[in-house]
Amino acid sequence: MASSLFRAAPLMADTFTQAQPPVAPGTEQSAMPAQSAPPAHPTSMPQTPGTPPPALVDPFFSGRGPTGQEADLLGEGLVTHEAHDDGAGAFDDGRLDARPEDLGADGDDDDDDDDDDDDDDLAMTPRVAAQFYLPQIYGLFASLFATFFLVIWWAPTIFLSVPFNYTGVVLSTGTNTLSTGSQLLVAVASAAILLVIILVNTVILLALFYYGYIRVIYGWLIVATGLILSFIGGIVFYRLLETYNLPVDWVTFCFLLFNFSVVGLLAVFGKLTLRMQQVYLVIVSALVATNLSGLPSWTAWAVLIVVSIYDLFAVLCPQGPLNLLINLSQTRQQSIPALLYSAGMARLASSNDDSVPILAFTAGTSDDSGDEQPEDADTQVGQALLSSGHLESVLLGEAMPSAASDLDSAAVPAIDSTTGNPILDAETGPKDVSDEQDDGDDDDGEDGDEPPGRGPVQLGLGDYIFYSLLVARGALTSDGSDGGASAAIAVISCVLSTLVGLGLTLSLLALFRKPLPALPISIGLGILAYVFSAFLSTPMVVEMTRQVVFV
Amino acid sequence: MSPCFFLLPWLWVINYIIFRQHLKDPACSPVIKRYINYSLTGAVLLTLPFFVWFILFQTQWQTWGTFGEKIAIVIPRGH
Repeated sequence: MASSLFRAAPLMADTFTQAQPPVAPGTEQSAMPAQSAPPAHPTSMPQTPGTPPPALVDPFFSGRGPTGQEADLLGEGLVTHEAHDDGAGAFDDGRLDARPEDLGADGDDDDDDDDDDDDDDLAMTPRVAAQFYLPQIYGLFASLFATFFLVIWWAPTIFLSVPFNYTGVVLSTGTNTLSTGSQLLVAVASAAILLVIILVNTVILLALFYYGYIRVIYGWLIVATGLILSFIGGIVFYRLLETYNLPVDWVTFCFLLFNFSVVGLLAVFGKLTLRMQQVYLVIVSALVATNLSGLPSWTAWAVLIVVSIYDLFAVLCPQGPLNLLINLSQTRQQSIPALLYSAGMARLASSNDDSVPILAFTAGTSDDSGDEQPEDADTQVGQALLSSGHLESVLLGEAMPSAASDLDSAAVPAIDSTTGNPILDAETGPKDVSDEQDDGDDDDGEDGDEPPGRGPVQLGLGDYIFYSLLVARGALTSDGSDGGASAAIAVISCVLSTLVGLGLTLSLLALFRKPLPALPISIGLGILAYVFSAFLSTPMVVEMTRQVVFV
Repeated sequence: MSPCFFLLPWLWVINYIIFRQHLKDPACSPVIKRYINYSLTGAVLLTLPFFVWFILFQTQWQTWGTFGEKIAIVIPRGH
């Protein structure tokens, strides 16, 4: 990983972290309007005589053990903070030690002005990016690859390989026999209906959040995820069994599915390890995308286009529902429950908190359910254990917004939500009140940018789902005569273009530092790539193969 | 403490994997260590009958006549 190249010995770690007074979360909180500019930390940080010279202090690694950070960023599972208990700065509630901007203020004399230029706390210097963001972004891309792999495996096997021998009510019934014009009409109508459903759900979500019914939202999320895991998981499981011709009895089937679903629910919403949560979130996204790829092809493309345009407007327009939701969460310092894939350290237990709030382990007393919301103070636990992509839930009939970290109660809900696809809330910085100012970065799901908060980079599940839907549609292109070449080429083009789009969106995010929709660029590039592959690359490759021409 | 999670050996295995490190920790209460071991034992004990049934079904379902076909979710093509 790139970070290992830059890892510097945390020489001055202790000195530096203790050099800063704890940035009083309370004062920051009260003084902070939603997106106020001036970062308070540089001014609030005293120029202590003990501040080490900039060259010796690594802004990222001070306050954190070298292995500790790496482990956290890579999601090595259970996070125990005993290792870097000393001033494990970034994860302490509200107290950000060794933030680069602070460093910039008194440490790095050269970058002083640069760092304080934008209202962001975290200046995106290359070092910052390499040390902090890149490992997490790698993790994000890896998980996207995993989701694509699952979808590419499941979509063709489920829909194309073996005829369905049961009847179901499907939108796609009979569209294959319609003329192109009618198919287009059906597609547009279906996409419009879906858009209305998404809008309604977003508004409901907004209302619920506005009136404070957070638990209702959580319940909604839990039920949705449970249904996805059990029902869609069951369908996929069943179709895979049919395709691979494996006899399985009801007892075994239900037993396996039950285990899978319950553990999945607990992993996503409870306090199992980060790795399990990530795995199950990838599985959930792949399941929903596989389910959606059963839509007829025109409808699926229309849905993708409509959803990405909606995303664009919902996030960027001031009256857009998602924009309102983000602003609401920022002003309230409250995280919206949602499903987010968190690339790094999701749980930010306080350094003193030994008792990892895991279900089986919480010693005695009130074991709060795995679902977040502990009202106790020991929930420094982090952010974002779960979040659902906004649109993903919408497809299921729920709108899931993203959430900012909950800063009021020290108890951070284990679930962090990020607005659906489009937005990734940067605010997930734990207790990082002062980071709230950079919230602009609610990028879509991309980065939580918590940078100041050292929060993990997060991407909403809705993004995963729609990217995977694009790829699944690519995988389902069946030209008939070329033995799957068109599907393979389409898949490769779509995967590459989607990931490039994601990279572009991330850079835009770093550039603008405000919530950005994750869908439009990637889906736009993906559709372009698909069209090119269907009309240009495939015939070329097929012909070259036929003529046995190697380039 | 955690609820029972009846019929969820996968969960118990995960529980054991997550808390395995605490078994070496002397500061950890022996009660918890006992339960961690219980979870592994319980998972193994519960998985054994499942495997027995699974193997039994896979090898014998065709000899069970109607009952075998009724409880089979997926009947392979050609059978």
